[in-house]
Amino acid sequence: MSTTRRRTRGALATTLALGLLALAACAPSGPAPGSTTTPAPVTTDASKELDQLTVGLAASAETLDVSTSGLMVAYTIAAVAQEGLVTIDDTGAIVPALAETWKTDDNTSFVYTLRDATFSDGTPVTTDDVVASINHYRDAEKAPSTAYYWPAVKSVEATGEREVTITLEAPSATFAWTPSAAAGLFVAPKKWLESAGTIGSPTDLLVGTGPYTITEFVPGSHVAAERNEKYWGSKGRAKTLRLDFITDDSTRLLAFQDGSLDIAFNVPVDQADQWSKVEGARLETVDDNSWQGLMFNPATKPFDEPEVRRAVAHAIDRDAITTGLLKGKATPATGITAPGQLAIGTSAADAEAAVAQLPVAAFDLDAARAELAKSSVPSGFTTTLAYPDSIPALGRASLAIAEQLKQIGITLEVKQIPVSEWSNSFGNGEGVQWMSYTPPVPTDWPTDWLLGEYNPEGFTDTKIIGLQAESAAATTPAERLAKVTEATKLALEQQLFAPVYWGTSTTAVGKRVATEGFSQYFFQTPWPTRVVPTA
Amino acid sequence: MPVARFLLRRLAALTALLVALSFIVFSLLHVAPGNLVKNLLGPRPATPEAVAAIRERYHLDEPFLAQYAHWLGGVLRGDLGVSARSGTDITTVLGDRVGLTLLLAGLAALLAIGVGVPLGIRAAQRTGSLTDRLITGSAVVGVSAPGFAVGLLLLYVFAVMLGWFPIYGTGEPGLDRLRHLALPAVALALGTGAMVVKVTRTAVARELQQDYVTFARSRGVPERVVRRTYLRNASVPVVTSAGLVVAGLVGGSVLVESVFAIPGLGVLLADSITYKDVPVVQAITLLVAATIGVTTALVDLYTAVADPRVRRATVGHGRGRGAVGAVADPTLPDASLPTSALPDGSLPGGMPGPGAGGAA
Repeated sequence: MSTTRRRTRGALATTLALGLLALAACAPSGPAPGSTTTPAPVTTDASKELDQLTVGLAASAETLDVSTSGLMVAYTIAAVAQEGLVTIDDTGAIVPALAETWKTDDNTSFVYTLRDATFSDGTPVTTDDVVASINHYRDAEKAPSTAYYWPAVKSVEATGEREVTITLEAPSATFAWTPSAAAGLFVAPKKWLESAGTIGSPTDLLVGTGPYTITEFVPGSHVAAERNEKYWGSKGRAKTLRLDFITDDSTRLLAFQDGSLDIAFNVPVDQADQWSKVEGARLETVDDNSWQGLMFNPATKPFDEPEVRRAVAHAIDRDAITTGLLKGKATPATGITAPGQLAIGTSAADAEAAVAQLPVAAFDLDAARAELAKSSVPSGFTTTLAYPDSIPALGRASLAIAEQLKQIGITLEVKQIPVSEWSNSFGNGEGVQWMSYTPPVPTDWPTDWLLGEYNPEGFTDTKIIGLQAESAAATTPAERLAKVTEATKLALEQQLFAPVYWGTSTTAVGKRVATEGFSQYFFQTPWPTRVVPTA
Repeated sequence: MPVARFLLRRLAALTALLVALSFIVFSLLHVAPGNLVKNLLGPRPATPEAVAAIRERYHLDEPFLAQYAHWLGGVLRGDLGVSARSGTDITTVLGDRVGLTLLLAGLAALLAIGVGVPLGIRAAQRTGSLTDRLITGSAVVGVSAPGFAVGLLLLYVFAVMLGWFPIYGTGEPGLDRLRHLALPAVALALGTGAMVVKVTRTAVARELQQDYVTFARSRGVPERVVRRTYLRNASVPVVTSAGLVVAGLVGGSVLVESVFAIPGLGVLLADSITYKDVPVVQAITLLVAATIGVTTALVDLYTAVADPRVRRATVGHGRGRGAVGAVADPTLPDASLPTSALPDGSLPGGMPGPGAGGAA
């Protein structure tokens, strides 16, 4: 991502990151670790129709406007009714949406040819609408959360009857993903964008070209939608769609057991057994690309000494945390940005090779003791580690780390704090802190923030920050990968971070339906068309 | 009109209370952890320019008092503001939620009082009996059981196992909505109801130990009449505490709303506090405070009607302070008891009342 993009208003997509939600999807359809379906998929019926598809979302929405909330749940809902010029597939690769074709020769000028499509209000999609939508969703004032994904744009114009050209100020390796409904564009009628009071409120429901049309939105309660018979792509198999906000895990489980829900988001790790026992249920577990790890503040004593940081890093038993505490629903992190994300635009092999180069301190208490002995606090010290109340798994991991640190003389006092306090605590001088970051968008890498100029710990290593800036300005995915790998390597050599785990998320699918090509990107695609009735 | 004066006085007091409360809540939000800018921008790289733009839009750089004045000025002009979280104006945000929460709290209050008061009276009348122990025992359980746990239990038994009620949501307005709100109302009413049981039992039991009851019974006053007398005396503390407990239902429904996926004010308030969405928090706290204020005023009115001493102090003489919680003091001389306590107007204890014979 470019410097400008970093400078634009950040998205709240973050709240996801904050773990307030943790909806989202995960894991490529490939053999990614932690990506499982239990039991195996069932047979589907190609002719059957459903009256209603009911989905239990784990987070609640107050607005449907992604561009102001940035919430993952808002992306999930918007994907039902709106589209960008392109969309992503199971692997995160770009595929056509409103643009039949697109091309770029230099990663600077992008030309899109529109297909014939109709908005849910009955008006045809014109190049004017597309240009107005782009200008709306890249506006840092009107649309802070989506503007984050837009680099500096030189011009957006209709260059033909069905052609729109976007020209950037500088080449971008990731821009191709930006005009999708998984990142920064939701094409809507120009008139509506100009006249709507509050976009995405119950009185100004979303208008778009997606497979369903939203008919009702009750904040905090539900969204109802009906099939868009004029949708250009393959139609949804359910006549209506009902998305219920059920934030309580136990209630969602009861509703799923009862058969009230066809799909339920966010199966908690410790409830997975109960969910899987529901008759006909299948659990889709996929990597969600989230990074959980410790950040050290190099300006705070005694963490200003690399020996102390390394001692703590050596005391983290990643395997015990992922297999024991998290019951295998996580992968030990050996880097920062997850391999699933690094592979976008390159290949899984490239990503793995990049991660393999990273120096990650192995769990080794003797090594930890030896490092500590070299520091100014050879007999240990006392410090605190706070974790957000919204992510109980971090609390359990903290206790496990504290137990190991005790053996080398370091007393780690673990405390739970409200998520709002946690998200506000970065860089406030704590020596060691938890970071949990779930990227809402495939091209949004945790390293963009954690290693960049405005990094949460406020470290100022010019080499790391410089490399990250170069990666943001990279013109090809391969170049971006190389620069990020180098920056990450330096940061881990200095032990500014201690990776712990890459997370997963689990979605429950009931007996009436099956999902086609479930991956971590599923709910960022026109997903209702990929839910089919079982035979 | 003394009653009108009383009401006007209460209205003025309530307004002053709301203004003071809005200031306190505003201050608390100001010092609470969390930061609207970070909530709006998210844990992302944020440039000084982006932060400055948001700080300007929400007047965050102005002195604290100026920020409060901004908000208060808006309210006085009838503009409650716009939710920072959703960008919609407060009336839309609160919209249906107010009705839903009032309905839920109303149902819960009806259940809590409708069941709690009779049970409390029964327990007091049978102090020490098995019935009493059963009722008080259940009340202890009710007070201690967390609402959300009870909610889940109710859901499991009545919605999943028996299938009598829906599991979540609010349904369509009308009977369907009542059916959807039945279980949440029970879950919400349980703790409150148990409290009402205990207060009622204590109040009635204390009246039953009073001399006037013993004397009235010893003089052969029909039990029906005795009951009416002591219940009326006991009603003052019961109504006072029930009023307060019930008013608290409106704001105290967070967990139950969350369990039953009901878009009410409780969850909205909790989320808005976390988000530092000041206009929404202010609007809800004021609404809840106004509800509590109106309820206590009604309770005081009732107290005045039921207890002449309070009536004289509150309504008659225009000195209304301390009316809440005023109860019949058993140590006062008998002359202070309602003169209508006994059917013939005589006072308990065998003293001849005005214009009545001494024999009963």
